[in-house]
Amino acid sequence: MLTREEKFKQIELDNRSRIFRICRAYVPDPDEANDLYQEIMVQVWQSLPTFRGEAKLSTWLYRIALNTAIVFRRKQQRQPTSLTGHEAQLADTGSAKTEALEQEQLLNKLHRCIAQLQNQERLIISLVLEEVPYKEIAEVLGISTSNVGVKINRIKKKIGQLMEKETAGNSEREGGQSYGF
Amino acid sequence: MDFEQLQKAWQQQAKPEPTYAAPKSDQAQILKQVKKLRRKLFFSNFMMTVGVVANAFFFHFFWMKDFGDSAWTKVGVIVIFGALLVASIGGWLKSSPWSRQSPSLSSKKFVKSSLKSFRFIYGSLRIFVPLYMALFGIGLQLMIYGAMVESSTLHRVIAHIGLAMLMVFTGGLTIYFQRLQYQEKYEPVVQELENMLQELEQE
Repeated sequence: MLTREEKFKQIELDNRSRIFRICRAYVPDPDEANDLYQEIMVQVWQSLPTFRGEAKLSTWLYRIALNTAIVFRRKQQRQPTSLTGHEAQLADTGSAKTEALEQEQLLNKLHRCIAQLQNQERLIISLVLEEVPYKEIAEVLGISTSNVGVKINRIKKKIGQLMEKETAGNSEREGGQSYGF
Repeated sequence: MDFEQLQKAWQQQAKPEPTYAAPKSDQAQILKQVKKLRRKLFFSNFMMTVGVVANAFFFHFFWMKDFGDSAWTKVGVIVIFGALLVASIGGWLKSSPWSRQSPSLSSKKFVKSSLKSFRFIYGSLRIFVPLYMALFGIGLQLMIYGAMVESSTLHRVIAHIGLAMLMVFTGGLTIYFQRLQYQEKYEPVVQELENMLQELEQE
């Protein structure tokens, strides 16, 4: 039988990337996302003894992430979010391949668009991007699967429009890509 | 560009290594909780004993005469006090430390004894408390039966059914809230202690 610390380490290792990406959806700044990640992990550690396996581990984790992120955002609301850290990171990758750079630019754009969504929409889109099934998203949010479907379609449409706006803003540099989700 | 491409890009994004260090549990806080729960357990055992003694006193000197001198009433009193005594003695035997212990979470003896006490609560909530309540109810029914031997059948039936309903209702509520309290207060501490015991045994 695994000890609490072993269980925790296993969960952290298996879900590190996924949870961190969800944090990035909530707070675009990588340093702030890292802070949020730490807080989520502290919550996971504290809640681990009460996890009885009634829900899927991933559902339980997403719920913790969602609740922690909401509290975190509330605390951060007065501070304007920025992508400076990410952009600085981008500038450093000057020698990287063009493809990787384009991917970074695309992600940057996506993060900017996600940052314009509402809290719940951010979580939903981050879970959709992680390819979490609709049923599980519904369980995390406590709403019906059909409602999740409606919300996802609406968010995808919104993201498409925001991405197009972003592209239009940089059309000369980007070459005028269109987004149809 | 379609959504799948975005999904792919999202999942392949750079993964800055989170600078995360596993938090250590706050042992002082847990020890405080363990001590508090043990005190609570001691207090409830103490109150149970006081209840038995007080009831015995009042029954013997005051209440018995109101119930009459029927043999059924005496049997009822014996059943009630039997249940009360067994519950009280069981509580003391199973949930109290019977040797000197240093209250430290690095002491295997202390952790084991605390776990034993708290697990007893869980066991008693599942088996002993319902059994004890059933016995208590049966005892009261016998006392009522003995006290109302000369009353009309209708009155006796009403009294028995009313008492049974009252016992089921109060017993059900008591067990429900006690279990809720166990889940809320004892269960997290039991989990912590189980982890600690595991670690202590691995050392």
